[in-house]
Amino acid sequence: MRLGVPKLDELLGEVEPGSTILISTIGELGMEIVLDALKENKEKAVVFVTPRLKKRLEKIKEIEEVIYLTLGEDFAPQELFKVTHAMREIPKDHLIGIFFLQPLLVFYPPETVHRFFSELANIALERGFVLMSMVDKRLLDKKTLAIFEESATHVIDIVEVVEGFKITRGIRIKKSSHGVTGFYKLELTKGEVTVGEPLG
Amino acid sequence: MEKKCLYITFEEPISTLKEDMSKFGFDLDHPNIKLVDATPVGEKKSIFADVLYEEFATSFEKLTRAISEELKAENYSRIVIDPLTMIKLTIIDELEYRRTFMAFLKTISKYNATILFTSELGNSDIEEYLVSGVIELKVIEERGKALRGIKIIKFRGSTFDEEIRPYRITNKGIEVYHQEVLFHGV
Repeated sequence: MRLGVPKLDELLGEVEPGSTILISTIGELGMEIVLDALKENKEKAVVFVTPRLKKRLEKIKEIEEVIYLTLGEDFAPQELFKVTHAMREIPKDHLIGIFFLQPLLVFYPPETVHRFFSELANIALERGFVLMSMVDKRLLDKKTLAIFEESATHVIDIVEVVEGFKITRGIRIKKSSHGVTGFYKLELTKGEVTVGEPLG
Repeated sequence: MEKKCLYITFEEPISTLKEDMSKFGFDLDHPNIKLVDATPVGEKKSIFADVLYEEFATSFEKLTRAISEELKAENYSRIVIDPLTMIKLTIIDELEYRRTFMAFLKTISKYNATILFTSELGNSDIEEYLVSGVIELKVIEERGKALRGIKIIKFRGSTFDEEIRPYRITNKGIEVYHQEVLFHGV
């Protein structure tokens, strides 16, 4: 599977069915990567969202065909088992499941969210779809983040360095079967993702 | 439904049971189901084996004898006693109750039928040692929402799934999410 961001796809290498990609980021930085992956795989995607995010995504014409699992609409936050059940039931031709874990980290302790994430990773492996999850690393301590990373097959790390009024954003492959990389410049302009030159 | 079932109710009158169960897709008027109303209400009548319904609720021995007689006459595969708590109240002495319960199980086991007892959680310590299997139905509160969980506590002679599995009650009966976990208290 390809994410649809040329340089990033090159750095990440081939993502095999059954893989779990964790995007460890700050806030929503890198959401564009998820949107690009959705556009690239729109007919084969299931997305786990909050009602607010669903409203936002529904406005994007290129991803009209995705299936939404909406927190608070399709299931209560307490009923995570219904989500794992739904993921087991999705048609085999669906190749990607996208999960935004931030809302759950507000509701649940990180250990519960990790168990949920790890269960999803197992289902992805069993069913042969790619699981892509985004997590705000500020909501996790280092140890918990390491546990999340351990459950993923691929980790994309996004950082932001502020010096005075200058903001530099970087992206690296922290874990993948093809090895790791250093940081590359990440530019996010008008909804477009550009992975640039190496940093440092 | 091919198996014959004998259902003895000590709490819910048959009319209520039928009405409630029909909402979940169970037809209790099926010819293979024999319902026995042993609730302490309603008119006095002989239920079976010349035992009055009132005597059922007050004497475990009479219940054993009556069921045994019924099993000789009909080939039942399933017997439901709902709930066990009512029988327990008939014998105050715990040792005596234990002896009687063991005798009951021994008598019924001759007929190769499976007996299902219902009991309130935490109210069946002695019985749990004596029966072959124990299944717990739990209600767990998670941030203001009640979640239903089912757990096998004991299944003699076999390995079993030790995880609490979520379940829900639907209009087609109980649906267990046998591959899922509740994510509660992790």
